[in-house]
Formats: sequence, structure tokens, C-alpha cells
Amino acid sequence: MAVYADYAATAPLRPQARAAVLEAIDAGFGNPSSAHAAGRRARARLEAAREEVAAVLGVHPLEIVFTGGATEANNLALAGFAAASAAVNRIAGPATEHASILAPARVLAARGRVFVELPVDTTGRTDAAAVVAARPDLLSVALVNAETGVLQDVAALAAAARAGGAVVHVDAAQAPAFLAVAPATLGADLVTLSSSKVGGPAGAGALVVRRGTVLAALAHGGQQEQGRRAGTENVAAIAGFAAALAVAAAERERETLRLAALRTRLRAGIAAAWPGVRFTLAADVPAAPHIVNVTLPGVVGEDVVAALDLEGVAAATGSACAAGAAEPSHVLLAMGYTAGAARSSLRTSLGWASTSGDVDAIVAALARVHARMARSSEEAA
Amino acid sequence: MSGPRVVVAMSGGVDSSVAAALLKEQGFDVVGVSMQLSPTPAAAVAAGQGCCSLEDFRDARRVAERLDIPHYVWNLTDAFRSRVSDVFAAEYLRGRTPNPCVLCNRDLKFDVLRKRAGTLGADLVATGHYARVVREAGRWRLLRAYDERKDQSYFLFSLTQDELARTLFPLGEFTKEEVRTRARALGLPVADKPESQEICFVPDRDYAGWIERHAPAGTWRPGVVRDEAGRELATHTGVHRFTVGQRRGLGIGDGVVRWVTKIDAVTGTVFVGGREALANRGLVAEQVCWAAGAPAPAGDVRVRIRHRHAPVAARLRHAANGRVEAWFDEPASAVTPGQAAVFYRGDEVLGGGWIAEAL
Repeated sequence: MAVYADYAATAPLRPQARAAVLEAIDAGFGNPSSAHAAGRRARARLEAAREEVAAVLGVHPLEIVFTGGATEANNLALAGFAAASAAVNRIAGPATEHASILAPARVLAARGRVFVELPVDTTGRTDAAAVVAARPDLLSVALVNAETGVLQDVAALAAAARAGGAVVHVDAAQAPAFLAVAPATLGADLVTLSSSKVGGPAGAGALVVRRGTVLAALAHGGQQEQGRRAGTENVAAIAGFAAALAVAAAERERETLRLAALRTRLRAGIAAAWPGVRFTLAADVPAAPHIVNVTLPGVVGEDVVAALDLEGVAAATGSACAAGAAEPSHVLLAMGYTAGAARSSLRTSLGWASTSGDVDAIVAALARVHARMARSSEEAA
Repeated sequence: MSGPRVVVAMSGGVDSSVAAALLKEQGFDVVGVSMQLSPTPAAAVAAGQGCCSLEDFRDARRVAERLDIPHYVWNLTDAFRSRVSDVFAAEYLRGRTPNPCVLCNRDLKFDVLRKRAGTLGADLVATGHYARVVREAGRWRLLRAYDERKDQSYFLFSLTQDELARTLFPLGEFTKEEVRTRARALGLPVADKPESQEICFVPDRDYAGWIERHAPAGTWRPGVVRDEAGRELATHTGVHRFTVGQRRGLGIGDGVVRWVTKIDAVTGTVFVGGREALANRGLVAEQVCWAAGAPAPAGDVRVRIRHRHAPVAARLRHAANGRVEAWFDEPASAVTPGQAAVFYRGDEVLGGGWIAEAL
């Protein structure tokens, strides 16, 4: 039986999203910027999606900038903000941020801006004092860490940044199925969302830009998306994104409880299946309920992922940012792990279609892999 | 149900692709693995080539998809650096001419890869090497490939009996043409991909340049080129720029054709001489290992002193410290320290070692 446990990389398409994508495709082509009936039909669909997303976030529709995904939204947030003002000098974010934050921040640093990597504690959380000390013009922080699921105390961090006059960007790509992501709740000026992480098609995402936030476009050549993202919109993918986000938000409270119960079952199962396993987060650390990250002493996470794959279970070592790369997780390194321990990480992540049967199958597969690895390391010894 | 699980090292080339296909046809449960050996595949692509380039990973993935087998990329960057490419540089700086392919086989494909294959439940590892392994009279015999022009048994001499027992070379009885024909028949997208002949991590073949970019500065120093009479003919920037048997780039410029006959890294001296000075009566091999399972008795063998070298008749003599002397029946040209000396009897690889010095 095939089990999908890599929702944090990409969630399976929700039926409502699939229907919206197909409906948008079947309704016919048309460029939303065109001044004819076909264009108007496409425009109507695009704007309906924009309203749907805006409603979830409690913002005005024109505060939504659709992008090609969360990575683009993160790049736009950082580079667009920096490009808008030469006075912007200091960018700060936890050392555990996703590569789509760290990499553009480092590019900006190489071009003369300052990027301060905020230290985190052993759970991966930073604090307001670190933000204050960094004196940022822009604070960028993920609400939910994509590798461990840990929650940053975004409200406190944002308040500390704002007190110093900073603009606040929150990467909420992993969050909408479980947490409120309204900018007003988060205290954010900019919020990143992903379609594929919430059960929409890949290739869509959004950057919420609160009114009054200065942000320059990175792609030029058209006035789409309020002049902040040139290029013909991917209407069908955006329609699917909006539908998926709406369902995720509507089911949020129930799903949070359901996934938390699955997580409890999964943690207990893994603890029994893999003696010596170390859970990256203790059960009482504030975290989104869909991710269980562990380290498996003495093995390489990559090998466990491959072995699980051969057992029909899709899991991950960490963030799937670089195909084939097996660098130790920068998230775990920032949390104080050694490189060897960080290389032994395994991340399972569940979501809207996961069941307790899936959890049991994951645990059974892990037990088989453990038995085999124990045997093969005995033979090698 | 499928047969035993086997991990196939897939480079993205036609040989390992067809090896995977043949095993799948034979009913094995085939898992493809590509080894990432360079930390910056993007740089390799920018440079245009190299066996660890993204293009090759992509080819391997496409072949795996075509064959409907799982495929993984394993990052062996650290092991490759410490056990192959650093050794490659260090050997050149010692005045020797290394053979990194042997190291890569011994330390990566048949060590790291095999151990990790075990974690996937695979007892067997396969590669696209042209060589054969057969079991006879209670032991495993490593044999030359049927296709003499493609035979790669030279690169495999360091395999142990235990490793041979768990290794498959599906191409051992094929010719290159048959492999390409098979690839075309299977619709593999790499059927006509050109051969990768050179050392994969130095695609431009500028070994000296590679060493100067990768070895710590100060690990090479200038020296002189002398003839056998001790006459200084030229100066040079480092012994890593020379290999025994080299004729070009000696920097002498008097119109006389000479070859490098010996390199003394301690004094930084490169000796040159006429062709007759290249003729050696034998060699001393060190770190000798015996694929056949036990040391070959002293006596007649054939010895190959570099890849594509036609093995020559020689008599083995066991010396102190596990060293082995091979005395050629007829003088052989350009015995090169650092290269492997591989001992054959008939088609079988008895074992081999690293050439320490010429006799």
C-alpha cells in the first residue's frame, strides 16, 4: 500500500481544487488583461479567486499579489522590499528559515545590504530580544518551520520589529490548514502563501502586501498584479489555489485536532518501531500538528527515505529544496545538532487525506527498515 | 514476485543504463543509484562536462523512469574528495601518476555504495563495467570481458572475494556495439551518448591545472629537468606537471626528442632520456591485493601496467613488506609509479597493486 507522508513538500490535490482547475480550463482561454469577452471571462475567474483568498486573510483583494509559488513570493518580499528603497539596509530572520528566504537574503547581503541570521534555541525558536538586537528594517520569519513544524512566536517577534520601525514579512506557506494567517493577527505587512502546500496545484502562490507597504516589482513588462508581478496570470492554477485555501481555512479547527491525534499516534508508533529515535521537538513544544521530525542515530536520513520509498512510503529528510543534495539540515544545525546527527534526520508530514491507517503503515514500514538496517550494520561490523 | 534486490550504479551513460535494463529483464528487483561526487553540479554543467553533471543525473532519471525502476541520487561528495580526488592530487605531487578510477571503484562503488545498498535490502551491487565474475571450484573468479577492446577488469583488481560474491557485471559478455543496439531497441534516451573516457572530475584533461586549483598552495615547487648525465636542460614549476613516458611540454626546446624517464619529487627533479631509457625490466608493486582469494604463487603471469596496455609475460617474485616484483620476459616501456599493475593468468585477474618503482 502506498502511503504519502510528505505533505510539507507538496500536498495531494484536494478534490475542490481539482474541480476549480478543470472548471477554469474548460471555461475557455483568455488573457485576463485583454479587452474582449474571452479576456473578461478570465479576468472574472482571476478576481473571484483573489476575493476568495482575500476573504480567508481578511484583507482587501488588491492586497493579494499572485505569484508562481511561495519561493517567488519570498524572493519578492525580500528583494522587492530592498529594491524599493536604498534606505533599507538591514534584513533579519531566524537561521532556520527556508532556503527561499536565506538565499535571496544572502544575495542582498553580497550586494551591500546586511542580513542578520537570528539565533534559535534548541527547539528552533528565536526571541524578541534577538530581533531587537538585530535592528532590522525588514524582519522575515516563518510562522511554521517546514522541517520541524515548530511555531515561532510571530506576534511577539513582529511587535519587537515594529517597535523599531521595521516592516514584517511572515512566510506562512506551511500554516493555513492549521493556523490563522491573517496579516492583522500575525502583525505582518507581507505574508507568503503557497498553493501546493495547502492542496492546490503547484505553480501558484501569493504574497499579501498590506496597503502602504513599499515593494518594487522584480519582473517587469506588464501591469499585472497591481504592477508588482508582470506576466500573464496562471488563472487555472490560481483558481485551484483559492479553492484549496478556502477549504483548508474552513476545516482548520477540526483538521488541527484530527492531525494532532494522528501525530500522537505516529510519535508513539515511531518510538516503538525505532529504538533510540530522537524526536526533534518534545511533545509540549508549540508546533503545527502535521510534521514529525526525528533523528535516527547512526544512519543517514537519505538512506531511510530511500528504504521507505521501496516500502511504498513517501517521506523526506527535510526540506526538498535541492534535488539530490544531502547536505545536513541547516535547520537542525542551527538548533545545535552536529552535522552527523543532522544528516540522520527524517521528516514525515501528513495532511488532509491522511488516515490512522496511513500512520500504522508508516510505522510498520519503519519497523521493517529498522530491522534491515540493524542487520546490515551488524554484517558490516 | 521479483527476484533479489540489486543496486545498480547508474552514471547516466549507456553502459550502466543497459546493465540496469538487463538485470530487470533477468527478473532482479532493480534499484538505480547515481553517485553525486561533485559538490557543485551546476559548476560542472557550466564547465560543460563531467560524469557528475546535472545532465547525467537527468539522463539516469530518464532511463530509470523508462525502465520503471526506482532511482536515487546519493551524495558521496565527502567520500569522493577524501578517498579519490585528494589522493589524486597528492599522488601527482609525489611525482606519481595516479589512477583515480581504481580508487573510485574500490572505495566508493564497492565499499560505500555496497554498504548503503544493504540498508535498502540489497545484497548485490551491479555496475556497467565490462568484466565478468564466475564461481568455480569454490571461489569467485574475476575475468576479463569478452570484448577485449572494452575490457575494464584492470580497474577492478582490488575487489575482494567477498565483494566479488556480491557484485554483478551484466555487460561482461557484450560488445559495446551490442550494448548500444540493445539500448536503441529498449528506446533508452542515452543509446547514442558519447563515451566518457577521461578522468570524470577533470573534464578538460588539464590535470596540472586542476591540482593547482585544488591542492593547498605551497605543496608544489619549482625544479629542474635533467638528462641521464645530470645535465640541467630546463626548469619547471612542479613535478605534478609530468608523467613517466611524457614527451611534450618538457620546456627544453633544443629539437631533440626526449621522454620523461623518472621523477624525483624529493629533489623536484624530472629526468629525461631517449626512448631506450624508457624500457624497464620489471616493476615493484605495493599494497598488493589478491582478487583470486590468495596470493598467486611465484611464477609466470601476465601483467598489465596501464589501462589498454596489452599484458606482458612476467615472473612474479614475492618480496618483503607484502611487495611483489614482476620481472618482464621482454622489456616493457614506461613503467609508471602510481599506476596499477594487474596480474592475469589467462582471462583471470589474480590481483594487483600499485607500482612503487620500475626495475
